[in-house]
Amino acid sequence: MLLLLSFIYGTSSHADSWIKEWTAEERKLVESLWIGNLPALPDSPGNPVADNPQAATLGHRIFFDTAFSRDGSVSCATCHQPDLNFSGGLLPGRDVVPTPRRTMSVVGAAYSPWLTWDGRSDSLWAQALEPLENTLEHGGTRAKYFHLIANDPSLRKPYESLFGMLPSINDIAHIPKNASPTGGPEVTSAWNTLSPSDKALVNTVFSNIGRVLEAYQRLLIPGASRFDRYLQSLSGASTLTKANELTNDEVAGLRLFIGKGNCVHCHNGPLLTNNEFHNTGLFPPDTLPTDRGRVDGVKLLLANEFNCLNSSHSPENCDELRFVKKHGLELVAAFRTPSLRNIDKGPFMHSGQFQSMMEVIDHYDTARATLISDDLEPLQLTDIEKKQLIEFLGTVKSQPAAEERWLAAPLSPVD
Amino acid sequence: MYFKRRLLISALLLCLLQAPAAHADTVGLVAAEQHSANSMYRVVVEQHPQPIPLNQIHQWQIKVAGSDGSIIENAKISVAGGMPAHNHGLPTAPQVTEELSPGIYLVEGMKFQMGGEWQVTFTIQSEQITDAVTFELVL
Repeated sequence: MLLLLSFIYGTSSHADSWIKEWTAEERKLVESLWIGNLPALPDSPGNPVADNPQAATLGHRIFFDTAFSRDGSVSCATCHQPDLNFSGGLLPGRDVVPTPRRTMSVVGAAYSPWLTWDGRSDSLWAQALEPLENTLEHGGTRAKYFHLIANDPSLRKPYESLFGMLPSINDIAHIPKNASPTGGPEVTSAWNTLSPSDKALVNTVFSNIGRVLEAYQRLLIPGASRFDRYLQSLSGASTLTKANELTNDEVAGLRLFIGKGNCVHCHNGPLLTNNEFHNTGLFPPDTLPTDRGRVDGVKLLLANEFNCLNSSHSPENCDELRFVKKHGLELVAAFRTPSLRNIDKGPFMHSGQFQSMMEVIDHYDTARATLISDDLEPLQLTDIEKKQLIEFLGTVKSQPAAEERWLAAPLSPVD
Repeated sequence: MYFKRRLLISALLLCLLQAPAAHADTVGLVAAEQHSANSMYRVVVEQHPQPIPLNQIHQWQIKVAGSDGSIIENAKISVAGGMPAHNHGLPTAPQVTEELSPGIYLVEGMKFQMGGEWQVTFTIQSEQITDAVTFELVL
């Protein structure tokens, strides 16, 4: 091993000499960010088709299909835009009221125990269901989607091959075209006319739509970025080239990221996120927030009919939910840490408070303790250091590590 | 083959990033055995994943004894903790869910979401005697 190390060091170019000068702790932190340390995908205990290729194919179709909305105008990809790393800025919303929070990326989301900014869902499949019925988003109802699957042979056939036969069209004709236990009085009244077995049937199909969407989204995992290739080349496992070399400013930004910038506290691990909830002082110190984030999100999570414990699989698979933190000042105005891999064009933060990454860094540079968060301290970065941080973040960009065909709408109804 | 290659790369990277050899600060539990604040109990963290993981929910097992070394059965134990330097608590609400064998308790729902210095406190009540024991760990 000593020979190997001396070989690596002996053949190092000037560009990697920095790492020899860093402390062991710094080097360990750098390594912890490497995409190669991403473990295998966690199981999705509530989804037996989570890793089924046919389910991913059907989920791919539905992800891009605007038929899964009230008026045929919205698909998942409308907000989770492939060109923006499957995320997006604030959108105007369907019913005049803008969506209050910006769209989080789904890339790498399969690794998170919590979904959305406030973690009100605890699986990708359960999360996928809410926007389908939210009037600001897809705006349809679960009964509409049930009929869509049952009546369109190009959907029904792959659905039945995954989940078993559906009743004949005649046997489900009595189920209203639009019905849901959530939503306005018209759809809830229609839902209340259904028998328990019809409700169970509709809910099963609705849940399975979420499950195939999860199967597709589990394919969207970040690929190796220039930063990752650079680290790999330092190991001697690949060749260090001009194309994957980091500049001095980018290396300086990396050191700020794991050090003075305090970024790595929350943006840690290979996905540059701990997927937990933090109040980052976005509200003036003497005010209370209007958007209370996790403290309300955890209530929605516990009431979610499709959460891990409510969706009928074994409680031993639901540790995150069984031991979820329900109380505490830390939950107030706390929002889930987003990954800093593939940051898009903004706006940034949960409500798009900042238009540029420089504004984000300026915020942390001056952020102080608030009434409800007192673990912030001003970073006091120089202008050069702020630019170096941004330079470093520019090196952590990559396409998802999936075949090209998964990164755009399918060519045919079920590609 | 793919995983073997990743393993090799990971091993090489670890060697590179950790060389030249330098001793990092203590990682994990600073001490696995502690006396409670008023010396009523002696607690040993008998099992936990090694190394203690970041961002992953996991279990501990603790052994509770009296000051004289006697096994403490049927204790009521609550769990709290956090990062004193950040003034926040644990990201989860861990609980002692089972006494696996006399004096050995299962702690479920442990999780740490940041590197740095943490504290975990077990408040133990047995036969009207309540005392708390705090463990320090560095991740």
